Amino acid sequence: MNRVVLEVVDVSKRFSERQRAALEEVSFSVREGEFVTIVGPSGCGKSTLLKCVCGLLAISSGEIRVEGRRVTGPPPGVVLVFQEYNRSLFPWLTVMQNVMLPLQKRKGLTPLDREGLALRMLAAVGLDGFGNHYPWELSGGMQQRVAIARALAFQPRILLMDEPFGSVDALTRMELEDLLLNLWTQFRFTTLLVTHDVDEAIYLADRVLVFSGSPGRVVDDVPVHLPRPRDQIGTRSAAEFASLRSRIFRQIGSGRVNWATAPHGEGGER
Amino acid sequence: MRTPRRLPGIRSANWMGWLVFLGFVGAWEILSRRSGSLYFPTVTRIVETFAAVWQLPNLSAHVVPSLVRMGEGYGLAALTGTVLGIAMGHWRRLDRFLEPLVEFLRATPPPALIPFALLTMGIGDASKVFVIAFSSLWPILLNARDGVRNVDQAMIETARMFGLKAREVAMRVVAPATMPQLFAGLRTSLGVAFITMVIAEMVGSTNGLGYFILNAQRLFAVPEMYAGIFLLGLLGYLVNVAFERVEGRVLSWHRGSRAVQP
Repeated sequence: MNRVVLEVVDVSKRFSERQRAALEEVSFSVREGEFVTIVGPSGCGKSTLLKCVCGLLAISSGEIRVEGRRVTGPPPGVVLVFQEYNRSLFPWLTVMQNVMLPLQKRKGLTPLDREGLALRMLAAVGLDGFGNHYPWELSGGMQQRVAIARALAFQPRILLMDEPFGSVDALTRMELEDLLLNLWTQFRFTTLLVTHDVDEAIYLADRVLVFSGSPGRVVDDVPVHLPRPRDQIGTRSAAEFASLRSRIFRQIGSGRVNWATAPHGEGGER
Repeated sequence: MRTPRRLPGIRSANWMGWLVFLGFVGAWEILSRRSGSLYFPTVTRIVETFAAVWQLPNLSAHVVPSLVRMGEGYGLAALTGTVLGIAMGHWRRLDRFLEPLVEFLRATPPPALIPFALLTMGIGDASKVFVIAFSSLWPILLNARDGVRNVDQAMIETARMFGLKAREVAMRVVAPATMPQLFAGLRTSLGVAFITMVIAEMVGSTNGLGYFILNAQRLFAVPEMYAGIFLLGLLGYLVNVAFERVEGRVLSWHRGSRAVQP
């Protein structure tokens, strides 16, 4: 088995003394090259956790280690892709300049290397020829592709994604899910992706961490053995997919989401 | 997808608007011819006077001093306002120290300071430059401050995540993100500076456009007075166009992004 690259040990996060904890004693670890998704109701601290992992938020207690080193500030090699692409892409830079921005901090690269890498990543997300456009000239799905290309050009060890497909329409969402899996197969970066969509969590993952809200805790760690490459129709209609789905929904709280489990004849109980 | 924005007035092909304008001028001409009033000279007369008055001697005696004062006062305000505003936006504590003072000073109508300025700085250029700078400082300062404060946290976090240091974040993210609001302040102040310039020159001055207009009125040189007013309107328009040119160049990305995202 691959070595562990991310360890989250008994992490708690409290924004103020009076408030309830956003995260309480969260522990899990992620192995190199693994695709892990976190699923849970909104407000369960999923996004907070990601910000803590990439060093943008300080934790209240516990420890986060990236490749054995304790996180105190943004660790090198960890990148977070936000849900709101329009808030994280820089509108005054072209697509190409956006993708090149993080590369300027990388040592040992000539300007030509940087440009080549940026072009390759844009091509990888299917945006060759769009380098000279401004982000706001592109559709939402294309903008999120730019954000993904930028993150990959940084060649991260760990890619964190916070509801990356939450702001695009359903068809674009499927397209981007497959694009991401494709890129993951190509580049094998370790991925930790947060979503509130149970189907998406299963479809993408090697392992699904189920969170419950308020305070956020890990309530289940579900391995997914569905064969890869995955397929939007085939995978989603597999029997195992359905049983994983029921298991996760029940963990999140069947009473609140009975509409979702109902088609399988297991919902409705309160 | 990029929509070119039209410049106001002359450049737009708004023929209805021009018809109204010509109607106004025509009506003025006819009515003033009929009444023969001393206070409303005919348009023809005003235009003739305009051409006669605004020759080199008067341009250098009145227009140049006005523009120099305006340029100095506005430039001073732009510099101080930008620097201080950015500092206040960045350091909350500085903002808290200065806010009550700023709120008090900016609530003071600038012309009220003209007597003070004349008393302490004399009748020369310094007093006018001071009042112009004082009046145009606040919109720039407050917009620069709010601009810095309102930079999207997600952008700053993104930059930090990619390993940019505080200085680089300031120069490459905060600075460009602040530009649109800073320019909004600069634009407001441009109009304010223009107004203050005229008032300051009317109160205590021996040259400049404000002085020229007031003096013409006192001497009953009514067509000259109108020639002065008309020149001010023209200058105001040209200054605005020049500003829009600069803004359009610096903020081309912003105009586009605003046009796309409602």
